[in-house]
Amino acid sequence: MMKRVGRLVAGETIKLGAQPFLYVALGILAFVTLAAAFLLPLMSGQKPSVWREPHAAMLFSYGFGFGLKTAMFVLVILSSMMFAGEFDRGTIKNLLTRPLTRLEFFVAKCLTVAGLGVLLYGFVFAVAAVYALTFGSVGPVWDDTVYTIQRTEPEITRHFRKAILFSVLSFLAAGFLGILVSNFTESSGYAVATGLVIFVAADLVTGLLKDHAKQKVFFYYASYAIDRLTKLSEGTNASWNQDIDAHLLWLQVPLYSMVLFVPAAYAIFRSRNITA
Amino acid sequence: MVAVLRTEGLTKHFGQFKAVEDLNLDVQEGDLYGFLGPNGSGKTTSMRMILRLIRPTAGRVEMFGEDVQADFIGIMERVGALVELPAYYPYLSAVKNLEVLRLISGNVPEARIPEILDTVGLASRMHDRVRTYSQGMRQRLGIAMALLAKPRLVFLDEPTNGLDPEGINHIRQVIQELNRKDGVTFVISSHLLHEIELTCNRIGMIKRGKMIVQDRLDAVIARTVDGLHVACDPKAKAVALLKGRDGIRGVREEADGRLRVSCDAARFGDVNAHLVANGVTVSELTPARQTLEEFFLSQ
Repeated sequence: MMKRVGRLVAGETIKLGAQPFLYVALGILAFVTLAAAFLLPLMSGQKPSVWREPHAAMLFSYGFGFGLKTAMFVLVILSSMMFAGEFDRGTIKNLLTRPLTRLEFFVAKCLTVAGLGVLLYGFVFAVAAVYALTFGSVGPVWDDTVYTIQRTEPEITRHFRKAILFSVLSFLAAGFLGILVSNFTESSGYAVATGLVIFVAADLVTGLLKDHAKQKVFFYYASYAIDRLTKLSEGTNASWNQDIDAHLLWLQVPLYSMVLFVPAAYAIFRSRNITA
Repeated sequence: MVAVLRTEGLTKHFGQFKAVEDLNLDVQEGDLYGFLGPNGSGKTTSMRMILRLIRPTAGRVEMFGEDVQADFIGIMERVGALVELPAYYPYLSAVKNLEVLRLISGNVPEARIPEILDTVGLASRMHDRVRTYSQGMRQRLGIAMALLAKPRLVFLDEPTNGLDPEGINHIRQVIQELNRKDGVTFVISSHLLHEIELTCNRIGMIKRGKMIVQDRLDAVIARTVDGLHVACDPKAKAVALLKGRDGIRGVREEADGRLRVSCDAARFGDVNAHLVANGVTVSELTPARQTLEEFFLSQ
């Protein structure tokens, strides 16, 4: 089974690699990440001086935060097309009349979405990191008025690692939402539109909720983690929410969301007659 | 002969609509099986059920002597299919489209891709994106996809759709050569009776979801004989002699001056003997056949 799934994933990689939208999306992600990393410090009044350069962690979090949010949309778009696109083009019948089961096909699609998520995450991370290390300083975070150390380098590194850890699963879960949506319809256009509407609406509604309620939504953790890193690298007195740490909510909520999305998507896919 | 495909009571209902009813297909190894029927008669639905793309309401499917549900993967390693319109990734070239399927199929060498594209006549455009192909070229690509993994049993649903006469002839030759040289069994669904008559050696006719005829093509053609063309003199005497005679269903003069005698093949000798014995000179006696189309419509 694993061999067949591996071959399917290789086939998916060929298809994804030839998708013009993927390269357009990567271009947009690079632009958004760089623009945010450049403009946001200026807008928040953090100008470099002889004494002080912006901290790399701060530049990173500005760029990465915006880039990651945009990448989530890209992931939802591409994952929404995963199944619906095959139905739309009729290629599903080519694939399902080969020696493989529907479960293998489904698993391969899920792995492809996970791989795509890692690629997008890694790309935004890399762009933000390169910009931050080029134009920012590493080391401790200094207070620029009294010239005292607000955060030591190990402290910043620890927060950085935590932010990355908290945001990865939350980001990847968006792809599995796309997989679920992709199985609702046989039109990739409708699937993408539905996926985006659900995601944008959920994002807007979440913004209106109290913190306790926000913590039940999987994509909250990506923005929360990057927001914390931004504040900590700016030298403010922000801290991590103890509840989230103690109950591993950053891990549990995205995982439970995936556990909800994936079987539901498979049940729909399994029960479907292929009339494409 | 071994049955490579057998369906038992295959049935599909969409709500109240009975798309396919109690279909019993029997395809033997090495057959060029023509699955005939007008549009909407249930050919594609039957193929989809056989290939497990849609779930049958009732019935079972056996391929290579095994229940499809029991060993789907093992069976599908020996099966190729083009169901309805050819489907492809338009932003990929023919080579890349086939590469995706090659990877999934397993055990198909890379060299098979240019080989099959050459077979179907796409070698010169193999690296072009499929979105730039004509309809006929897309159809050829669909056939290449079905033949890629060197299957033992191939389902082709309307394979000549969109092909020009030269293309139809080429694909017919490819099918017949694969059948003759490698013993590949083909199930070809079509509403083009003439095309099936030229390509196949066995046919099944489906009408409103029900199989009406299933036999060797020559046996079906023998059943299409429904009388005689008789050139004779004097004609009036011949008409008078044959009208009302036992086993003769009717006699009429045709535009070319010959008589058209409606009777079973068993009566042909009697017709000739009776006319000659009564002084009628018979200069031509040939069987009169219905076309497959007329035969189909008469069922």
